[in-house]
Amino acid sequence: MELTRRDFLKTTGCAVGLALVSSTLSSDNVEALAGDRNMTIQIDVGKCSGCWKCHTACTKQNNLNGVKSYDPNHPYPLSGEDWVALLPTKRGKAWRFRKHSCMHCTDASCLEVCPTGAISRNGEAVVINQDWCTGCGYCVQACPFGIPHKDETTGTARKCDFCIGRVSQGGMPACVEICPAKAMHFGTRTDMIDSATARVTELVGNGYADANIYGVNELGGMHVIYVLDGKPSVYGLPDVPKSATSNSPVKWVSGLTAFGLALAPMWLVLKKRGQNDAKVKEARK
Amino acid sequence: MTWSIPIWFDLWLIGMAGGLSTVAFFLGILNGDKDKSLFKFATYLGFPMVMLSVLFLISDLGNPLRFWHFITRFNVDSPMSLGTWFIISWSAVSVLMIFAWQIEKRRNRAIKAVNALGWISFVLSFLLMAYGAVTPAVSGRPLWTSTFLLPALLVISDISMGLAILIMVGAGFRLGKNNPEKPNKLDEWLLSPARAMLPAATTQKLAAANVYVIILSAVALAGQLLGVFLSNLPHAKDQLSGMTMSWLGIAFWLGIIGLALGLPLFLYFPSLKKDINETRVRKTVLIASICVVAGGFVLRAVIITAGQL
Repeated sequence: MELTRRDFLKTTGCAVGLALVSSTLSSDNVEALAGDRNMTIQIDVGKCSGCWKCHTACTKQNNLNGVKSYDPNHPYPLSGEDWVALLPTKRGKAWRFRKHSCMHCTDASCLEVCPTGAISRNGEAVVINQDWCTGCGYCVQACPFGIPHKDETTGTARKCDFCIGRVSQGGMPACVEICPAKAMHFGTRTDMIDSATARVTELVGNGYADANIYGVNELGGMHVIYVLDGKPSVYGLPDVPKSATSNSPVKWVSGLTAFGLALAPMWLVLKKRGQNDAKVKEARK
Repeated sequence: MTWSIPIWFDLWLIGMAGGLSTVAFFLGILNGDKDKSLFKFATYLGFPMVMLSVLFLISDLGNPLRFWHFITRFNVDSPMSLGTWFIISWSAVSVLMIFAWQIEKRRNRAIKAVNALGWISFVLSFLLMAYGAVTPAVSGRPLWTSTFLLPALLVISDISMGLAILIMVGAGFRLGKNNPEKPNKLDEWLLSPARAMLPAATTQKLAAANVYVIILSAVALAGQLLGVFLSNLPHAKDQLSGMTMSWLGIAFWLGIIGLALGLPLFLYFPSLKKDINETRVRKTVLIASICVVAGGFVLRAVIITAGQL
């Protein structure tokens, strides 16, 4: 069959149109999904007893490598096989523990910089496709909280996936379900923010003037929010976390400016030389 | 450590290839190099450098056999994704130019093609450098992101390394021993035409230019470190003290401050007003240039390591 130019243009136009419509539909679907559910984990740092059961539940739920005992003097860092860590902080005479795991940011740096598209958003959750991840480690470098880690066994980046299998079936993340101190709650974003606000008011009333909610507006809103009884920096959190790509145009321009500045001396010295050569030629004439 | 030795080599090689190509092309324009001998030399040398850097990058992947996943996506937000396409485009243009150079004696069109492709390659060479410089800067590591100066520092270092390689060629650097009875063919084929474009006066001017560029990189480094010091990001000061005062501090002070900045300045300066044709002066300039190239490697190694402390 001979394909005329008109046929070719028609076919191409239809294909482009279909692609645009389908991409619009798919993005609408994602927004609808997030809008309907928009589930959020709330963590109250003041209530956490440091029992470490959240780590145990996470390890079992995700078939990770072994359950470990916890020592606040030597806390385990996050790794490809440890998706939950407890960061101890001394507040007066008492210890506080902050459960440290993926916060499923709306402006997720890991997702933005992933060069292969292995990281995607599934409703609230930011998940890494283990069959597509190359293990380049860029997400590890990009996350402002240092969450994803490269797993030497699988060769991929791994982190908390919001227990997406359980959550999509109406359940709650394993860590929240097991928490005996009720330091973690799971519900719609509005409910979680409301109860966190009430708790912060209570903390302020009890003398914690710096009490605040972390994660409501940070990075476009996170799907794990903290009730903190002190400034975020006390708990090892950046006061104003920035997305890795937030200033990237400035950084490209910085490279371009430096390029111009570095070539300028070369131009100046060689141009001067050219002028000198011209003077010599004139003198010879 | 997520990014280790292969990434040091990757960033060093890709930066050096980009720096060499841009400097050679620019010098060719300023000097009226109609045969593009310098640019030809830069492309022949830069192409294997870029290929080697790609091998280092692939070897650093957790799943090296999935390297092709990079070419299934074009993500403008990700410098690494952009870099993949810059590398592919630069390599394709370089292959076309190498092919055109091979047949240019037979076909005039090939010369025109080289002229046109040269400009494209010049732009792509800058983008190669920028990719290597911006990739660590677009991250969450305080040492790399506290200011916008890291890309500037690395691009300036790339240009400095490119200048150093040309100075080495002009100052008579040879591949192997020079035996008049049995000339080194690789040296004759690769370096001699380029060397013809780098007479003593030009080489000396390039050394003068490199002095300015090294001073510029010292300013960028100082600005970057000051920015990290003043930053209120968690771990920023830990990374800074790790870089300058721990075991890594030895590499910082000896490798960056000494080898990449101090020693080349010390060696280039006195030779600027002397006759570069003198063997002693030529050797001094050669050593300074080797220091710049080796120091460029240490700079990347230290910055990449310290940023992950």
